[in-house]
Amino acid sequence: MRSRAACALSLALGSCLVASGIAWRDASGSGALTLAELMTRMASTSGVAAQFREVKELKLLVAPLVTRGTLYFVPPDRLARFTSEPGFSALVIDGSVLRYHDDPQGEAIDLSQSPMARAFVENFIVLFNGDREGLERVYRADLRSGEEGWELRLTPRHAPLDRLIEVITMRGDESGMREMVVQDSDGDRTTTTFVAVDANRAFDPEEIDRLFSSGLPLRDDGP
Amino acid sequence: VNRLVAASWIVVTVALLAFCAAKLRISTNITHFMPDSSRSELGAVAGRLADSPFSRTMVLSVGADALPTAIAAAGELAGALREHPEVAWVRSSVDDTQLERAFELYYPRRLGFLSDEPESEVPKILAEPALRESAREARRRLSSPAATVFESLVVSDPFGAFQRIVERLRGNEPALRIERGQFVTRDGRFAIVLLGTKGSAFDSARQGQLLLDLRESFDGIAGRLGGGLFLEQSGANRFAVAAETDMRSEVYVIAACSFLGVAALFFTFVGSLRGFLVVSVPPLAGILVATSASLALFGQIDGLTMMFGTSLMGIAIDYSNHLLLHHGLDTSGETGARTARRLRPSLVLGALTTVASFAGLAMTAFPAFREMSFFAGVGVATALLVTLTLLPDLLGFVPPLPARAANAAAGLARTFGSLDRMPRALAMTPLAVGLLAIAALPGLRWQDDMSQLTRFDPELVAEVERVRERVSQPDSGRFVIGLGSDGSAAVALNDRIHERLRGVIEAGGLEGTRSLHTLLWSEDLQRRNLAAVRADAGLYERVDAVFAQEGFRSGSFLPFREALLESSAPLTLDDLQSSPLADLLVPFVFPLGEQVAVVTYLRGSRSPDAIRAAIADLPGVFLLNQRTFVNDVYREFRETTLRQILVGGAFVLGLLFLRYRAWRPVVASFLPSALVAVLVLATLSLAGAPVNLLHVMSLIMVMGMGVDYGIFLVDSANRREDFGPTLLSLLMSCLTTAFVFGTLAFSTQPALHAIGVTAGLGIVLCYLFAPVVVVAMGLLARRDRGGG
Repeated sequence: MRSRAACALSLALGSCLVASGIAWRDASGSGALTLAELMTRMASTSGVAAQFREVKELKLLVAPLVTRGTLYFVPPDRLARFTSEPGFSALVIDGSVLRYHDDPQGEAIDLSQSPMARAFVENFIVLFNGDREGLERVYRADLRSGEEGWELRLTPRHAPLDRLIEVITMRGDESGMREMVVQDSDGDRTTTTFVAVDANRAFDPEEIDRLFSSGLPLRDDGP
Repeated sequence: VNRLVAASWIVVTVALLAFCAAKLRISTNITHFMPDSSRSELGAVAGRLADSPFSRTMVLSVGADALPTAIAAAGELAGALREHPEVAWVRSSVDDTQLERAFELYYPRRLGFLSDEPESEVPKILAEPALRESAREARRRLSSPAATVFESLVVSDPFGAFQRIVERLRGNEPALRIERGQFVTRDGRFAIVLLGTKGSAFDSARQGQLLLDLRESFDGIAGRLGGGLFLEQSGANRFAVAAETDMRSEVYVIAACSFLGVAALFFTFVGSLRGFLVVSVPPLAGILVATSASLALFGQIDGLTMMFGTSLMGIAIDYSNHLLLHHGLDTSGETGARTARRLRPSLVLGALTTVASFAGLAMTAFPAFREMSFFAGVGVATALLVTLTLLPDLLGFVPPLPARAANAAAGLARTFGSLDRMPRALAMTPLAVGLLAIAALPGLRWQDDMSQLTRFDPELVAEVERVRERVSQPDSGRFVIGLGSDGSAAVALNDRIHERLRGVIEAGGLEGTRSLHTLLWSEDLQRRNLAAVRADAGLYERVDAVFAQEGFRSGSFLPFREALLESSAPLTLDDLQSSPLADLLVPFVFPLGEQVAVVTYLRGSRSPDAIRAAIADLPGVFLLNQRTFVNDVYREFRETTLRQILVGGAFVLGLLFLRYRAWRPVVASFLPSALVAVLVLATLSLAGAPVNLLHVMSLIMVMGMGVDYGIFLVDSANRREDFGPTLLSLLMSCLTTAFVFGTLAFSTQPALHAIGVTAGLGIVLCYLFAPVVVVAMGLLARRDRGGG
């Protein structure tokens, strides 16, 4: 059960993972972006802060669930995702540590020892370190780009991810990534759109401590 | 010595040694010290808990300048400890296997674990408002990152029955969280490792080695990792090892002083090592025969019985010493056998009065006292027999006594013989002691809290308390115990205990509990829960409707309808005991003779009376405060001992009357020991020192010796040349006792100090009072008062 929970968290992390790499700009201006370039830019950002809106279409529910929140990425291996609507939740990756909690005053659940979560965190680190080979060991990556923008499709190669996720699709343009869609194997779909992206956010030590030690969003974002 | 006789003695000795070596089993069963059967039952539980997995658990707290360093060190330490032969288990995080298995065991049976009061509470859980709240909570969870796993569960468990089980299990865990796969305290300052030892926490030899190895491992890790690492530990074994280490270091010093003192004494008055070895034969023979006889009769010997019994055997050395000095100081060329025959009436009476003083203990309800009485009786009788039969032959091996022995005997006879110049003043002595007793004894304070008999380093106590607080361990030594005829009955009884204690918690009399109830409910309670759910005929339709109103797709909850129709057998104790969760049961349930005991650990017990009242009508259920329970037993133990001193005294007086048939020698023999008992207690009272069981037990030994002193002096007062040797033999006995036991008075450990003060002060007073009373009673005045 624990590994299933970790697996579910990993799905959510998928959106964090990709969203944190939203800041890119085609240096050549040709519009023909390669996976190597995309990953290099992910690894080279000084930091990212973005707001997101997530729409979950679950077969269990008549209407989609809408979630809003903020996401932070501090290179090379720190990422925090906070939701503010419909309720508070926090998912924090700090190096090899992965924690989750849904009460600002409550205690976080540490999932670092879960094999599934650990594998996902390792993949996350590989991606932001620009390790294209490492990424392609886990996902089959298909990047297309054109005048309208680009689209990266990541299809899990191995269990247990391939049992849960059919495909992750990220779409963006020269101003950055705008949307990510996670299509689950059971038919559920999660679509995340990003707004107010700051692709060169610098974080001071106090902010880093609040985000990754206390597991709380920055004050102007509030829980 | 006749070779055949010598060979016979050797054969008997070797045979007894072989028997003891083969059969010797020393028990430390607390029930030996329980006065009746009902207390014995509770005592057995107390004993079991004293050596339970709970008492074998250590908590290691690792601190550092930064938590990641502490976590890394704790992880390494846990790994090293897993390899240690004395470590049964190590936990530094939650075991994934246990969680998986818990899901498999509990999820199919989740509807049986809804409520402690299913008839009244289940309808509320299934009522429309509660279902609507469940639906809203489900929507909230579906928006969380854990939605995928929750989505698969909610369709078969819409109102969170399994979540209730998980929350109960979490409530039973120590107050810890997990960081980087490692238990850390809630404040995130310390990494925590829990470990269980294979051996008893009170096996100080094994635990001492473990603690040493643990410290060595940690120091190695701290040396490598640096970062201000420090280790603090909590565990009963730390106190056991500290007590043993402190006592041992003191006992070594004290034993060395005693040995030097006794050796100097024998060198001064006997002048040879052989003399010492010869007089040691009777008491050693007494211990050997008493041990063999006790093993043959009882099958085993209680550790404390043997300790007290052996120390009481110290009296027996007086018989051989008495014979050695009388023979050595005899100037008429008397043989050893003849000296023994001459002294036989005194020695036999001395031995008989000693046995009689123990006879009172044999009539108590304490099995340990009966064993102790038997041990001392057999031992003293054997020592007397050896003194009268074997020792006269062995005296031939002892070189002549040095001249200073004769001079000392003559000097003592002159000194004490001169006392009869002031008979009135001597007669005032008992009166003065009586008056002192009347003034002082009412102020005597009894100390029955045996925990006060061991003094621990305050820093150790503070460290253990700090660590216990970090993990919110339950109060040590406070339990509610239930005894059931079998596992099912015990679990059913535990349901009722939990229900009653919940009431006490709600009333504020108790902070919390750790109980088997978080893991297992009785089959009956599980069936009642299931019946209460199934009794709601339209439940599935109502769930579907309410959840649909909250945005769920109608028809999504078919797995729940199937779950309602499934018939999983209730979870049983056997199911859990044969699962990977069995380890979790060990502190809570265990067999006890023909019964099964269930234990609830209490935390923040504010009102023991309320707890006692809550469980009063539950058969086979007790509130046990180990500390007060043991103290109560010791108080009873001490009171019984005091009563039996009086009973034993009456036996001794009877024997003395049978022998002397005149009141003066009877009083002269008996009064010194009685005066000493009163004076020692009065002195302790005046000094403001509390009196405990060990004082009383030491007093028995001293009084036995006091009566012997009286008898030997009364008998030797009949023969002018015997008075000096008797005074010298008694002086040696007195000083030997003072060196062996009296030096314990300098111990910083209250237990050893109590024995030392009583034995040291008592035996010196015995030696002073015995000749004073003999002279005061005019027994010496009718003879030649010059003595030797």
